[in-house]
Amino acid sequence: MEIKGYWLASGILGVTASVLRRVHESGADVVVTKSIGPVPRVGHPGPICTSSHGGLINAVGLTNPGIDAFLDELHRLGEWGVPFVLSVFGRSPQEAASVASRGVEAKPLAIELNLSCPHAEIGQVAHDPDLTFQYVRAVKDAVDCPVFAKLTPNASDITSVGRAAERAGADAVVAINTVRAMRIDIVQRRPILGNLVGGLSGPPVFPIAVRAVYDLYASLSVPIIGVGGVTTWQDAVEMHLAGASAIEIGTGVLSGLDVFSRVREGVMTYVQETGFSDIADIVGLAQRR
Amino acid sequence: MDIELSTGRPRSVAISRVVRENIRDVTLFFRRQPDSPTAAPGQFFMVWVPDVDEIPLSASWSDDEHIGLTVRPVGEATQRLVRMRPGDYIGIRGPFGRSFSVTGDAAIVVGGGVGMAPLRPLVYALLASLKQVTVLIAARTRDELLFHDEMLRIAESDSRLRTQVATDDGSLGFHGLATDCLTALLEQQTADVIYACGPERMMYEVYRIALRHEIPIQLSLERYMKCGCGLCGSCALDPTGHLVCLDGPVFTGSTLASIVEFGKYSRDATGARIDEIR
Ligand SMILES: Cc1cc2nc3c(=O)[nH]c(=O)nc-3n(C[C@H](O)[C@H](O)[C@H](O)COP(=O)(O)OP(=O)(O)OC[C@H]3O[C@@H](n4cnc5c(N)ncnc54)[C@H](O)[C@@H]3O)c2cc1C
Ligand SMILES: Cc1cc2nc3c(=O)[nH]c(=O)nc-3n(C[C@H](O)[C@H](O)[C@H](O)COP(=O)(O)O)c2cc1C
Ligand code: FES
Repeated sequence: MEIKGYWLASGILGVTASVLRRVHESGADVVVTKSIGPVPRVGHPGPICTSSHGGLINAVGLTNPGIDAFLDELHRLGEWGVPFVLSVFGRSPQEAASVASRGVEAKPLAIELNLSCPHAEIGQVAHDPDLTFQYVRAVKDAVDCPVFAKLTPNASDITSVGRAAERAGADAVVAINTVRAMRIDIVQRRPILGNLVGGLSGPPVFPIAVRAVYDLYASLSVPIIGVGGVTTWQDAVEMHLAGASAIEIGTGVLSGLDVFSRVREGVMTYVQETGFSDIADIVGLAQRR
Repeated sequence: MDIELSTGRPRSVAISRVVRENIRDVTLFFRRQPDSPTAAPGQFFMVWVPDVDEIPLSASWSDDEHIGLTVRPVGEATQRLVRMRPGDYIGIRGPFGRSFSVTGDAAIVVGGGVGMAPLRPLVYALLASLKQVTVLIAARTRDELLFHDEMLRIAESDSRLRTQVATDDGSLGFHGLATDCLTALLEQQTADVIYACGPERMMYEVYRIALRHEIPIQLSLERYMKCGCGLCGSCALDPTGHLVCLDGPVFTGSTLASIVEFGKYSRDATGARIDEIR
């Protein structure tokens, strides 16, 4: 598949075919599903989200119906012709590989491997290059379609994790997942989220995502899919300049489902007005010194 | 983009008053902070029950000073809520969702069980804009009728309001289902709008009755809600992807005509389809 355009990020609205089709029809070039595991999972008790300093903190906890039930939704996406990427997770490389190999039956454009949910016990893989290598290799061996590795900004060295993913055969890396965070209610004097800890997303994480994409672009040769805090075309241009070939938008859907087309149009205008012929021409341009 | 606003300005409030409505249901009131909006009829809040969960509850009262939530205990969160006392804290986000819109000149309002909660403020809003209102309150038994005494009291001094009761066991009023009572009612009088909230089986039947009589309808739907604000997708409807939290919970009959799952199935907390409706 071509890695370009403005996609729906995993976990935002992505639990049914119906709503994913609606997001695609509202302008998302590709939709990434909620991360799916081997069995049904309720996730964390509420509150599962709260706001903070212009951003969002969530602790959904990988709620999903399991791959068997989700296959019905995936087949429907296929029938409707919605371009989709299947996000998967697993407690071991083998488990992630088996979810992915069940999922490719529905012909996703690619598998996005969630190695990085900061508030689930099973999602901390992308802190460790060796573990990341094993997960990516296991999933690559199990499927024929492209595999993307989704990284965490919470790792102390995101580029060595990215390099491990590339060595294992990842066709692209996705950066970033949410940033580990917490809010405490000062009236009740207790953490707000049911899981206590969650992940920060939205505008406050944008510069963290830009830094991660910039560093990864400098040290990898596979494409980078940038995600984190993008809500305007200016953000998207900046993310492309850092090195993102495609951009995912999650929290930004709170500003309306037309966010994808607004961002796309703004970037196209920027590209034309600054004398470039294609968005691809600005990818990684900020790397020159 | 204002995420604070989109997520319903999360805040904690102290319960100011507790009112027992019948043998099951309890209304909790809290003070509205001056900077937060009042709730329109049909809008709901996400209510954080400390140590348990966060659940959607409709506003059953909203004025300049107070907001009320009427709770039916059915599980851990709601059981904890009905045991709360003045001074206890809950977390609040909202109000969320689209409200009922006040239209027509003669309305029938059908409330089944705790479905009367969002309909109480609607009845007040209808009367405030000079409508004829017939409210049909249904419950399994007379001890579970919600806001019946209150509606009778209003009707005593305001002839525009008529009340009807249906109980499954015949302990008061019409002996049978709300929908059979509605059918009988529509033989005696007509209406130019029907509003309903209650078990989905009931609402689906009310919807079909309204279709037969060609009366416009507004229904308040329930689906599993985790975020309440258009992020998680757990409340999405097939096949259109309408979100109950953002595009509802109040839907018109013409929107419901395109919702294949209405009256047929819903989804559980994991997002899996369950062939049951409440
Ligand atoms: C828009 C809306 C408005 C509502 N208004 C009221 C109201 O005014 N008064 C009232 O008593 N009830 C109302 N409900 C229903 C109320 O949210 C559930 O009864 C409550 O969530 C049950 O939680 P529990 O922990 O007590 O029970 P549980 O044992 O967790 O569940 C009991 C039942 O409630 C359902 N439920 C549980 N959690 C949720 C959730 N997060 N979202 C939706 N359904 C859930 C379950 O599917 C199950 O069928 C409303 C629901 C919605 C969607
Ligand atoms: C409510 C919510 C649920 C999420 N669920 C997932 C998930 O299941 N899998 C995943 O890889 N990322 C998940 N994420 C992370 C997002 O895909 C994205 O990486 C992150 O939110 C940063 O992008 P944003 O600022 O555009 O939202 C979730 C984010 C949010 C806000
Ligand atoms: S409850 Fe999360 S999208 Fe409606």
